[in-house]
Amino acid sequence: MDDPEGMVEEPLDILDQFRQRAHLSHGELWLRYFELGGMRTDLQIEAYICGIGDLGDHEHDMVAHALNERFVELGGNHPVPYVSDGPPP
Amino acid sequence: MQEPEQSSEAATTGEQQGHLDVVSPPLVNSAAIGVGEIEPVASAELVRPEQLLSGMSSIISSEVLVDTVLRCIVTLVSVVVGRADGASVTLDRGGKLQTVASSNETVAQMDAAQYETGEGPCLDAARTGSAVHLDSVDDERRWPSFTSRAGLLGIRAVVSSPLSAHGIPAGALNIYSQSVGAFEARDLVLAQLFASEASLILSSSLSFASATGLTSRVQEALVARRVIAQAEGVIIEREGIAAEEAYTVIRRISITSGRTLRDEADVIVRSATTQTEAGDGRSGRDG
Repeated sequence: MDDPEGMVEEPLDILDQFRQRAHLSHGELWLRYFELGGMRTDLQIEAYICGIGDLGDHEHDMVAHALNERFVELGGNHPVPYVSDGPPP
Repeated sequence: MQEPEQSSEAATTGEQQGHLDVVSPPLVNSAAIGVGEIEPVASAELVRPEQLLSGMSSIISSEVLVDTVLRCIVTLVSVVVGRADGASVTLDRGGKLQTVASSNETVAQMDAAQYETGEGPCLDAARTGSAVHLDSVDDERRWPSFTSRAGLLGIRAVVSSPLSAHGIPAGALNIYSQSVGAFEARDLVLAQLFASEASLILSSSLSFASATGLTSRVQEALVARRVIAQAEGVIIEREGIAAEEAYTVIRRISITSGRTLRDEADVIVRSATTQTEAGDGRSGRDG
């Protein structure tokens, strides 16, 4: 995920923190990501959301959306930001 | 119910140096189940349970092998974990909990009673994914029908450790004892280790994926992927943009509409199909 200069850096495992808040196992998150068209393996996704490696913006946004759809199921909104939508205003 | 230190397996080993000595021969017959990595166990002085576990999950699992290995785990657990008097494996198969391996009839009855009444430590572990330890069934108040049945069958302590396959809750490894306080901290760690290995074996089993409905989840996912890809195609053609941009467009529309991305993709594809058919109808009439 790009981090424009001057912005406060997110923790490397921010996506994993979202995953835990969404009460999803790594396997369940991967299946949801795969369902949305994701192309990476379960191990790659698990590593990435824990802050290891890079997926590219498009695959990152699929993981983000898999999490956000789960948050919607739980009565929330879309708390996980998308890279392709740019930084929040 | 066997007494761990008086079991027939113990008699065959000819050693009486505590419960770890009574490792039973069923695992020794590794060739029969195709488990080349597991060496015969003559004495617990030579092999620790953790070492025995090592490599079990790397077995290529067929349907028959999985059940066989689970039976081996149950046998092993019932002799090495605390003052266990029996153990069993409960699996969710097709949405229904079943005992697929049990070391004796009493533990099978304890499991069956829980499936019938819908309550008990085994069911809790399987549902919640968290281990349940009852130091004394006599002090347990959460599951009256379970404690009543345990009293009848002489069960006084229980450890149920959750099992999972591909990260999805799949059942429980249950260890029962006739002794209050039968399981110490070390035994709980051992139970967790055995449950982890059993989970890895389940995860590597295609038959298990089929039995638990995971296959249908994957099939649903494949259908969703196809619909989303079709919708991408519609947007690409309509907007003249790249595939990744088209995906982002669908995602944004879905967030605005409150539909899931898959449902939004379905709407887009149906809409495009309807328009095409209408266009064909008109051209048919025109022609």
